[in-house]
Amino acid sequence: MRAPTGSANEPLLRIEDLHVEFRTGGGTVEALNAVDLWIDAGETVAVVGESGSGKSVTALAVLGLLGNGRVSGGQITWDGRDITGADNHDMRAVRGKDISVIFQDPMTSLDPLFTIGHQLVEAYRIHHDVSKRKARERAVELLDLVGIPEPETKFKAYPHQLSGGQRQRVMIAGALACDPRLLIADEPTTALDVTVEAQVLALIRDLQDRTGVGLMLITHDMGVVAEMADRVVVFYAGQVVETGTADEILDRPQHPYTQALLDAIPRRDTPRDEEMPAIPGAVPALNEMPRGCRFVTRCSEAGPECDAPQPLRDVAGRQVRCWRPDEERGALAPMAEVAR
Amino acid sequence: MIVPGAAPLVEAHDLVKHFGDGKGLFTPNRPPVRAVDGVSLTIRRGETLGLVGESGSGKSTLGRLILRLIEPTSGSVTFDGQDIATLSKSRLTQLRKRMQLVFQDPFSSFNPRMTIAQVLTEPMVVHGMGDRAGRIKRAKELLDLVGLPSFALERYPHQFSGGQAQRIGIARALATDPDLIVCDEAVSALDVSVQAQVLNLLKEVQRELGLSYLFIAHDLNVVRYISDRVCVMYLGKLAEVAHADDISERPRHPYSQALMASIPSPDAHHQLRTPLAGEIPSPRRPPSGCRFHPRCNQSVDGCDRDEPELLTIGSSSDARSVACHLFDPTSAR
Repeated sequence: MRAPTGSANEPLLRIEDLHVEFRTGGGTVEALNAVDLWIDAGETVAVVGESGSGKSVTALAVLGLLGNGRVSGGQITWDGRDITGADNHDMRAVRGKDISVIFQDPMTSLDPLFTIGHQLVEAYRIHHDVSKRKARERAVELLDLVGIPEPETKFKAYPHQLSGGQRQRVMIAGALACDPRLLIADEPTTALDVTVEAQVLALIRDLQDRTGVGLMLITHDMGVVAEMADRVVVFYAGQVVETGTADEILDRPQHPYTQALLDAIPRRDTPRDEEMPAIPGAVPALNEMPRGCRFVTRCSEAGPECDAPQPLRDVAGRQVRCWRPDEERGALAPMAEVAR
Repeated sequence: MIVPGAAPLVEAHDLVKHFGDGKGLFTPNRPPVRAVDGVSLTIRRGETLGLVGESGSGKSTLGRLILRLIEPTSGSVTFDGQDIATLSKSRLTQLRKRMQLVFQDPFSSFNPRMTIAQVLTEPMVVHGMGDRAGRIKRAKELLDLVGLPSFALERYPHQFSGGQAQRIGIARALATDPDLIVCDEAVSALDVSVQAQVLNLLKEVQRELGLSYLFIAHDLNVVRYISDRVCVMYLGKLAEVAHADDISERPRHPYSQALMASIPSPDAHHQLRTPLAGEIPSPRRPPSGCRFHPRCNQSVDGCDRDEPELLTIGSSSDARSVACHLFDPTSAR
């Protein structure tokens, strides 16, 4: 189910064979290794994985915000245009307008010294040549849209006067101010209580229905994935190890890592008198990556074949970075629908 | 293993903690934050008591009151039969040896300049346990208990991953051979795969040493898995206390029910949860009557006026306590 090439079906965002390096005191480390990913217009793609797996770095690479890192290989295409390594000036036209982003902690994204209204107006006017009054009207409208009660009054509030859930709503309002085509949400609800998380996710879905904005949802929470995602991309140690639809990934995971990750989540019916099926060990350090499969050190099914580098291969219409023949992976859909 | 029939290890009675008495220079009339507002609970020997609730419900404050890391405004805590509120400083220090705390972020709870040997032996030094050689020997045993190699002793905290660091945090808590460990969001910052390892470790340690945990966390499935009984807290008060399976399968308080319905589940594809309306109100001005009534979908006449009492039915392990006007203790559970 690789994204088809050709302009007619060109996805909104396409990442191909992306490599990203960071300079550290101990030399150069590779944070992303051959990452492939695409997002169609209006689609919700969940990017899942544990800390340090490369989820956020992928988003930052798309936004051109890598800081002391750099793209060392591969290509990022936005709406048919190559934006790999685009300079800051070029990206500013895209960032915040076509592609918006919200982060985990709204408090670090909002300026504590200005009212939220002021910040929304400012963000809107970067991309729109309108009067302050027009921008103000738009800001109040947005606050209303994201469910902030008394938007006229809250327009004058400072960030600290809002609750965590309300601040994240304001961030969403700001992100949607310019009618973006893609919203990148990096752990948008991780800092919120489950009750407020449910509210914020419901809001995001409602806004998607109304505006058709595509969503790249970075999360570590498989419950959030189940609730939101059309497709899922699973990251491990800087690589994509598996992609598929949400149902495929959650019900019939193919990669041993995806399976182990799902098993390790405490559920409502996990037997309390049994051990949790944990994944032994820890993710290898970036400068100590195994040459072959990167999960080999923790995989319960590892064999000598795993020492060879593993390509991301098409398996029954999805992609899996594991050599093991399909039939050993349990019940699988027939190979029929490989082409989308 | 819970010891049946034995006296409880911890008994908290009507604990209250108010912060800020309203006499601030710029805020002369501000009401205090009623972080904990009349909580009674018991922790049995060998038991894990879970404590859940949204941020701002007072969970962490309650945990610190039980350890007397902060002084209560009123109420009492009895630890192994001794009232810790009235203990002298030296007696309290002796008792502290038997109660420990594991934090959410292990790195910020370690001195980065200390080796792991120093981290682990410091509590023993404070409590005058053993000689130097004996303490190092015990540190090695502790590392072994939490599944880390003894060469970790010469390393520094930053050389460990988050999961390993939390193992060290647990080893340090075990150094003085405590009867109670308060785990305050101890696995919340860990990745799922590592979280499962640490949950297993906590259970294993409990089986071997028979200690009690007060396990504070916001992840309800984690709390359900590790706890024997669970307390649901809302705005400084207990809404419900019951056996872990009862809380998750048959919650009786509308707030417990709403919390359970809010858990995101990997098994429920594209099912939107039914979000609980609104957000937790300020503990400076808790709502009248039942504190949950403005968000409650089952509230009836009087809920905004009368505060419900925490009523208990059943006894010992299958007891259930609920603070709700709709709860009828005479009906079957």
